[in-house]
Amino acid sequence: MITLSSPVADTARAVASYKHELLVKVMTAIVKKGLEHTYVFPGDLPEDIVEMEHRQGVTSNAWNTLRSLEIIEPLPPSFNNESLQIFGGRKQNKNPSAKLRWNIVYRLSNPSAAYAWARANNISLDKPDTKPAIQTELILV
Amino acid sequence: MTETNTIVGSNVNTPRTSWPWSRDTLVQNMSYMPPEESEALLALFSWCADPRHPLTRDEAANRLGFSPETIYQLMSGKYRDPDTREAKRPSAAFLKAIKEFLSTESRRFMLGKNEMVETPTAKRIYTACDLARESQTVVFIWGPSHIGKTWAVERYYAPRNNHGKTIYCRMRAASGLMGMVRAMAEAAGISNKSNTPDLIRRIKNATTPNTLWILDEVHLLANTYRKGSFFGCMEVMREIYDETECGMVLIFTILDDVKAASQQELQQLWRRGVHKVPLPDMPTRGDVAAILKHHGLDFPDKGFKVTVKGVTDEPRECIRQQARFNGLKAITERIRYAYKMASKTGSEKITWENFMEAHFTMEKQATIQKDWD
Repeated sequence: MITLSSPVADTARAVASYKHELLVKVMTAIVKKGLEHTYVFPGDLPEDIVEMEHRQGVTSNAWNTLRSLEIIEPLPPSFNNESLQIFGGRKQNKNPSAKLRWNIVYRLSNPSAAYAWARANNISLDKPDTKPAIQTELILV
Repeated sequence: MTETNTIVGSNVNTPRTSWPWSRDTLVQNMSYMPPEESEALLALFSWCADPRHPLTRDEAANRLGFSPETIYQLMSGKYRDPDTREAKRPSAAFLKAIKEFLSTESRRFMLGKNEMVETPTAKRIYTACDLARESQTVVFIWGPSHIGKTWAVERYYAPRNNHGKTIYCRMRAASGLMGMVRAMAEAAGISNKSNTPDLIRRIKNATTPNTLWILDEVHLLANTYRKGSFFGCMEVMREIYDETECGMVLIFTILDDVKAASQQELQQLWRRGVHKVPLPDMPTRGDVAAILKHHGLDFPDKGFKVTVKGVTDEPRECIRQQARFNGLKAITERIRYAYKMASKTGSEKITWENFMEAHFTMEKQATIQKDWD
């Protein structure tokens, strides 16, 4: 586990205590995106995932907490990939309110830890389209 | 058939323990499937059981969108048709899910790591590996240190050809026959907690004619105190090859011991290696040019000079000397350092001035500065 610097840790602790549900919601969205794709960055999350008034504290701390848990890790600043549009380990966020900011790009560094975190929080990381098939022939009409 | 070995210790809930098989038992359990189907399952097992990116069976099943029980039944050879009780093959959707899963996982795992530039030497190594796979023979590759042999196979060839049939194994220094066998067992996903003859047997059982063994740093097997250990290791390799008819690539930095014994103790192995691939004794011009091009630098012409802080030198000569005496790493490290120099000026691209500045700095660091005179 990576120890966050004191001001960041204090904020993360406060957000985890007061807005735990929202924090876990954003962390789940990050982990799900991270599992589906090779990388994940703030532009992958819908802007309305949390209400405007909570957005800044909750979303930034969701990234910081996952990073400190070593579930995600930032791509190195020397990483460039034209086809992925990642330059210097960053990618332009095309969400309207992001104002084309260059955000740090992360990759899920430990999928097993992500699953362990999800289990600890009683969250399912199932794919939405993998519900068990219903045995229709036995349904009483 | 599942492993019956007792698990020692209290920490039993590891991802590896959720895969209660070894590669040799899997090969036996899935022998009724066509090679491409069993190889897909072997690739899934190899990926998830690898301590660098572990995943439990439940987690892998969740990612694939299938039940863990399906994976268990398939890998145990118990996947049967409920009516006829005949062994059932994995569905096309399951195999497709494995392919997609492994593709995403491997791309994510490599994302952000240093990119491998396909140099002419690297391409020769890929061709040699393909030859070994196709012809099911032993291929010898040898060349000096730091010309990109290990990177070519470990970072490029093995991950891109790991359909469950390419096993990359790096030999450890001063380890002898036991060390070699243990390293091979670990690479194949077999528990190494056994004696040497039993591990050799299990390695043979885990190897099919479709398997390609890439054994790197084989020359290290000669650095043991027991005389004759090296020949013992080589003979075990020959035995594995003879009994399984797999492809085998043996990569050496120094081939002197093998060459010296090629008409004596190692004649049998040497003659099995029809394809022999000697690599140049220093990185070729093409190799260096490919790397420079990847970083946006043209190969410097003769006479092209660069002056940095009052010191003038020829980049071409500098590169030639580094390639000759220090290998590719010395050049790529100068490129990395050049990016640092460039970033100080706010640029994301490097120039020959940055490269030479990095070179001068590194050369200065390598000399002792006398501050008393």
